[in-house]
Amino acid sequence: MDNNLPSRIDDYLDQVFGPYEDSPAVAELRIEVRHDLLERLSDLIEHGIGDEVAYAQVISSVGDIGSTIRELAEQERAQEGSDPRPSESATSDAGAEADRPASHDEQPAPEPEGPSWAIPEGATPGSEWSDSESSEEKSGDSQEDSPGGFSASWPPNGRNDWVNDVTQIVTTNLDAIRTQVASALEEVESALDSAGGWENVARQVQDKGKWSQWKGSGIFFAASDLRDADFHDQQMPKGRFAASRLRNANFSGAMLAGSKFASSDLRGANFSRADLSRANLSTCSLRGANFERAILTGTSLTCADMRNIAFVGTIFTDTKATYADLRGARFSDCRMEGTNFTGADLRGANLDGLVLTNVNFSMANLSEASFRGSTLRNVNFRYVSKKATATMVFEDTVMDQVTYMSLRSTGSSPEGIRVEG
Amino acid sequence: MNMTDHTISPDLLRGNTDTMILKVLQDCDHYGYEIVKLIRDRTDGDLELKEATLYSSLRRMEADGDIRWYWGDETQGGRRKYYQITDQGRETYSKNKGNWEYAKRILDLVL
Repeated sequence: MDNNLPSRIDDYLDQVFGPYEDSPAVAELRIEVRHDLLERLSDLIEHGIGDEVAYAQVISSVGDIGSTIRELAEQERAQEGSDPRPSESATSDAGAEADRPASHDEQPAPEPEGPSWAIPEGATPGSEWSDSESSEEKSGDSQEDSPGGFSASWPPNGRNDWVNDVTQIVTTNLDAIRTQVASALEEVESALDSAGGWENVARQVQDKGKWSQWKGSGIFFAASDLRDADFHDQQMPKGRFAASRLRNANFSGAMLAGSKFASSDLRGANFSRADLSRANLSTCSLRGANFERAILTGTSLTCADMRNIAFVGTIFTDTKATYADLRGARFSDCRMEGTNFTGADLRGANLDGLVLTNVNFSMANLSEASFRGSTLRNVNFRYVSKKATATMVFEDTVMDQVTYMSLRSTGSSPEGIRVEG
Repeated sequence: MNMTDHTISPDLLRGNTDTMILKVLQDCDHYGYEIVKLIRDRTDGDLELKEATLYSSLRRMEADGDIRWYWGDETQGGRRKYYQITDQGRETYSKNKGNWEYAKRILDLVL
């Protein structure tokens, strides 16, 4: 199998799920769909289907999942502020053990428009049912970027209305829009060529000290190719870098509070001493990135790939690392308060010598994770599997009674723990 | 008429997706793609649920209390959500199956 196929599937999922990445329910659905697609891909390859055909069939098998995603996200948003979304097994008949049946106790979802069964006219049994509208057509909307020319109160009547409006406009005027976009792109490329390319433009702006001009709206680099770019010590609050190639980019010491990096390739990027408060790095590829003494207060790292990263002196206050891949990660001298690792993969992670306060490991995979010499207060291990708990390393670990009870609720009785209070 | 000339109305499928999934879950808990494969296999490949259809149906049935889910054992590859039919779901299935058989009997009389 072509090794790029799984990452192409991830790219596809980034497009479909990206606009709703902050919703835990959507993140969970993404994980389910991703597993399904990878297994389907594997099945097809095993049956001798060629890579490209297999990939096309896998993508075709998704159908119009946009409406399901939107409903989940809207349902969750509607619940925010009134009744926090319960975690797995919130219903009374579900037990505390990870392997017991559970159910979300969410508000009933609005009745979906119906399943996307759709049989092409003249199709016969044996053919694959296709949807009347591809998910790509519905997934290109952005949650945060208002179309130009609209007022600050945009969207006026809720997300659904403007998504529908935009979809209708795009569908009706597709050819005209394509022509205009192509023309605009040509103009941009031409202007960039005359100015010596993106990097030269960036350098000129930088040299003239005009970064500050961008502070209000945030500098816009979304979907850019900025590999190896140097942004060290720059002031770029609310910068927009989503879906960009930023491999090995240098952001050391940069002020990036509130910036958007979602779905970007940040492998090998240097964020040492950077202020990433409230930044969005969800679904980013961050392998090999440097976060030494970085500030990740309120930062979203949902579903980010951070395998084997050595975090040194990093501040994880109220950081959201739900469903993040943190296998083999090492946390040295890091501050962890209110950090949310729900559903994260922390197999083999090293959290030795830390003080963890109000940290949530609910549903996380903590197999062989080490807490030697750490102090844990009000830490949640709900629904961590008993099997995983049995492999966790506790030596000279101190925890309060609440944390210990949470750990015990997994069904295990780990040793090497001193319970205080 | 050759078998391959037959088609199935999308409306007919739409009205029975939940029941098909409940039927699959009667015997054993399954994760998403397993459900798709079982329906495909039981229909000799004639029916295959899209992911969108599957998860729309699962979310709806979960909200209705016909199914619930739990995280599977992650030691076998990636962690999967397994879906399980509830007692209410079994009742829903029996009711839907009865309605289907009734409708089929009536339609057979006139078609």
